[in-house]
Amino acid sequence: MFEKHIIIVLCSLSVGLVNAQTVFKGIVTDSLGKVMPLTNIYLQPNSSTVIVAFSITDSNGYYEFSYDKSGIYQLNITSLGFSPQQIAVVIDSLNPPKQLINNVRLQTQKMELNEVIVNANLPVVVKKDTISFKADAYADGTETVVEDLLKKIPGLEVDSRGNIKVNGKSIEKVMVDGDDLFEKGYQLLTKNLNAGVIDRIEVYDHYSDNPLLKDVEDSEKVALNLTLKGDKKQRLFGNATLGGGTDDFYENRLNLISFQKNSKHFFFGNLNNTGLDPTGDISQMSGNSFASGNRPADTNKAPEVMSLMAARPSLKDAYINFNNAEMASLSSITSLSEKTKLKTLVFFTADENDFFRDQTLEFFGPGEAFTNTEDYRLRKKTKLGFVKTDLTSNLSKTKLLEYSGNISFGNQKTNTQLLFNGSPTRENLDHDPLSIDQYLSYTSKLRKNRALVLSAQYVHDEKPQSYVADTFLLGKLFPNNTTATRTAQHATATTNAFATEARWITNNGSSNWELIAGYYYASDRLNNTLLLGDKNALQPVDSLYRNRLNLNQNNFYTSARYRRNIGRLKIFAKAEIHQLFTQVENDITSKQTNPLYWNGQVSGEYKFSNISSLTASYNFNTNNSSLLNVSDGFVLNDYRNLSSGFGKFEQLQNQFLFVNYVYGGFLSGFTLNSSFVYNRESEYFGNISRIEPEFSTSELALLRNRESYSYNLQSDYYIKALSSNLKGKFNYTNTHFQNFVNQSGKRSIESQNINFGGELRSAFLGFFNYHIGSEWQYSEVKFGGKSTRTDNLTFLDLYFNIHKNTIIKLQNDRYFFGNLDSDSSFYFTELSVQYKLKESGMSFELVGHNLLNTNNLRNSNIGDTSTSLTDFRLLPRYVMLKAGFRF
Amino acid sequence: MNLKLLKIIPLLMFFVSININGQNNIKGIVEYQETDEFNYKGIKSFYTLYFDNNYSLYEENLNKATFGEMDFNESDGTITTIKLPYRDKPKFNFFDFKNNSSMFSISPFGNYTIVNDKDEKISWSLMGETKKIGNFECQKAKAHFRGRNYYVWFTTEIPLSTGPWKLNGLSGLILEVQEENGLIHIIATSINLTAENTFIQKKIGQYKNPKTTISFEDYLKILTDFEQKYERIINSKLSKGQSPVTDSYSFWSLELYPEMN
Repeated sequence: MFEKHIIIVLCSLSVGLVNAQTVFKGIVTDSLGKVMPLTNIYLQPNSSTVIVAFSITDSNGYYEFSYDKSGIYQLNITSLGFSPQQIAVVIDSLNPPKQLINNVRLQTQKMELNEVIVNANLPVVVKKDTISFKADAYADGTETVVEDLLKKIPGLEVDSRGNIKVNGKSIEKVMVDGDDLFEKGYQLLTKNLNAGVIDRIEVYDHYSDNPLLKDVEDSEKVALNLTLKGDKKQRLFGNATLGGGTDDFYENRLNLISFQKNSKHFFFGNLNNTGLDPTGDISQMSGNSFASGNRPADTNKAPEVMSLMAARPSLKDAYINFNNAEMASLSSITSLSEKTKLKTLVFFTADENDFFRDQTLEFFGPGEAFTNTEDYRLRKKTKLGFVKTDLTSNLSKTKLLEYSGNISFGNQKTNTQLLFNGSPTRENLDHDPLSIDQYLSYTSKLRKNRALVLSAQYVHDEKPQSYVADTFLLGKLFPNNTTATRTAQHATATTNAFATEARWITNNGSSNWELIAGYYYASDRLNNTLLLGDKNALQPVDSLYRNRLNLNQNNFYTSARYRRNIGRLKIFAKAEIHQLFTQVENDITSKQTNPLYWNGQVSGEYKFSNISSLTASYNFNTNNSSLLNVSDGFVLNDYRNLSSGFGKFEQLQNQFLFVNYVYGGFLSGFTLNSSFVYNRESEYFGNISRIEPEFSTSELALLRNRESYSYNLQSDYYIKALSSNLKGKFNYTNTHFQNFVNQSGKRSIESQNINFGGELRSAFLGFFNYHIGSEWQYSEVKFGGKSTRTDNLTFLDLYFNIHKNTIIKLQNDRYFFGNLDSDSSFYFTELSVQYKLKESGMSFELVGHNLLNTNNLRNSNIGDTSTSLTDFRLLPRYVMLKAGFRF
Repeated sequence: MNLKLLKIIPLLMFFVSININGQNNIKGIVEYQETDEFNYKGIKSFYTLYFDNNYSLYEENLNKATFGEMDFNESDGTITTIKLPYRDKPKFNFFDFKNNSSMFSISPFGNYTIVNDKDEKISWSLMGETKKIGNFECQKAKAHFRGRNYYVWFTTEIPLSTGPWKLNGLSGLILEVQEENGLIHIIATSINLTAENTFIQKKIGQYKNPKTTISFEDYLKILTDFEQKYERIINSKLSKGQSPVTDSYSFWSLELYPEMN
């Protein structure tokens, strides 16, 4: 007790010298003299009700607190069930009391307070948000661009082409602060925007492109929105990466992003020769890829008659794509007024791709067996431009007018140098695609849950191609032509389409209706001529090898779609009725067909629980013949392959069944995904082929009963004892079809594929992790005889987190091709060492590409008439140092 | 050992005396409504605070609780689905004023567990602002508690130094709580200071002597294991070539424990 007093005195002295604090203390007792714990003591200035200091008595009824401001106060002593007491207190500014001792005795008081309702009706606040991830929580510093960051968000997948899926569902778009500049071409953004500027990643489920259709439209779409860090909303910022390596390899990137008051501008530039395709999928960009896909004429595209690009093995671009890409894009979004927004996108890319392939093909019949060799070197130069303008105007809160127009143009020159059975040949293909798309829509929200959308679209797409090869191998087809040394073709495929549609949607919570009435007009043309001759002159040949084809379609249609939720069951049904008027015209004849037809779909989804569901779907489709299907004359596909259509407009039906069972979410230790697909075509277009050593031709024939089915199973199991996930994969596909080869009569072909594999991936929390896996692919083709193939891919990847700033990744792959006699294994090793200086925003990466310098990959293909061995040339070993800057 | 026993005996006697003394004065029931803005998109939960001289119990009202899956139509057209796992035992916070001890419940993987909380005195700073909640004149106070800043409104008209959740120690009942960033909001909806004491004692009695509890250290270990388990599961499911996520996958928690890092 003595010690305690001394301490208090010392304290008050030492404090008093500085602040002149007054210590309040005392003991509170009840009327019987018992000490009262938990009694409230507080100090209020006389002039106010605000408490300036307080204390609560301890188990001995003792209180103590201090206060240092002068004035006239009231000391309150209160406890529930007792009359409060007030004591007047004065703290004089010149001579403040060092301590004020007040021992208080409280008198009991009968409670008069009955139940009090404080706050009966509070407004319900629903947070306006979606699933949202804080970027910094998932980033580990190794991310360069947004795509790298998205790969780390649970439930998000990014494939090798940059396509993004959320929980297995492809996303619609990636927005930045709510503005969408790139639509389906979002790879431009995700492959180029600096990951460090992202604050949050928001996943919008059930997303609607049209803001007025939110709450109305039944949408299964998923979209991403990236919000930028507050400090990045300055005027201009960006980043640059410079990479230089051995053997003249380079990889440079520049991104500039500017935010003005009423506008946003994005500039992306990329130069590389390391196989990276800066635009994501370039073929996707050349068409209507910037269209959202649900507009009435979006599917209309002119066919590409000739393409000299051969099939590539399933290797990463960085291994097989010899390129020299240059890309620049500028996109802007500007608010013209409060109600009107203007979006523009200008995009230019140039690329030079080289591709090297040596192939030996053994044809084993029907007919005379032969062996062909083809050593093939391709160079493709592409220039592509794209300009798009979008105008969105909110006429009122319930009316929206949208215009979208784009033009895409380009030039592609493909040259091949090849040795066919030892004789040299050159091919040249010139391609100048042009496409124009104009779209206008008007949306009126009739009620909270009902909307009407009127839309119209015009599409023009043309693909003129000019081809010449300095060889003539078609002698058997043209026995009278003995002088030709060149084979050439002029081909132009064109489409002009116009569509208009009225859509009426109503949403009643558990059910949703959509009714559509529309009209669609398309005029497709195919103009191609085979030319033979020598280097001085080329002459068109007879009408069997050319097309002057017009396919005109007038389609009046109506459709109804209905969705209903009954507890855990979701039922979905759709029916379409079309009245089609078609006209097929060529040089000589003009044929009309006016079918009335329908399409239908029924599907259901039953949720057993939050993590397990069963989905089943049945579709009945009527498919109209495409332009190439209708063609009568042959089309040259390359220097020695010709094909032709059926010569007539047909409608073919197929039935499609899909069953899928899913168990487990992304946080589950055990997941299972099992699906079965069955497709049956009562009538289909099969091939009648003539395969000769020098050339081949193929014509379509109307055949019956093609069917295919496949079963797919994938499962993950987390093994706690190993801190590792065991993944199992199995797939079986079976297809039955018929064909005709070299007057064989009808052949029945059955093709089967079995893929299975396993992976084990660790998740140690320390500095080391491994990922090991192996996958077998077995293929079999039965055609009377039988061809088989067994391939395997095995990998071992090692990860080391040496330091928070340093990450090492070592990837090792072994490809095994069972049909190769010798040297059937190919090994690849890739090393990456990343070092990041977080504060300065600088980063360095050392890449060792193809460290084992495996310069080629040989694989085998099997078919019902031939087997082939193909040797691909690969990008050689190089070491590259990349430096990244941010500004 | 003997020494410890000697210390406990007077303590027990003291309880008894206080109980007799306190029975007629401090007691009551206060209803609160909680709005969780971060985890559960504004879903309400309802709690009742039972208190007497020695104990306070803040117990969830399961009859009014929301469970299962709910869809929210957002004003931007998206729909947010929230899954609230079913609980058959209410969440609670229990305080023993005399022993300066407190307990609360957690349900990791559905295992209901009672945790002995760490004794942590909240240091309040009083603010000059006042407002009325219902008919009570309230004053604002601020405290930093486990990683976050809370603003509360308390009233000296009900001279109880208790309040909702883990917040107490002011010279009046806390009627409203607002986390600085709006993560959680709690407000009193009714106050009954004349409630049957036997009912209050019965409620408090249910929690006085829990069969099994775990220590605060064990609780932190459970949280760490919980986070690591999910971090491992996510990392172990990454596709080929994806670098492991090195920052931990962290569950959002209102309380932040520096001891965990």
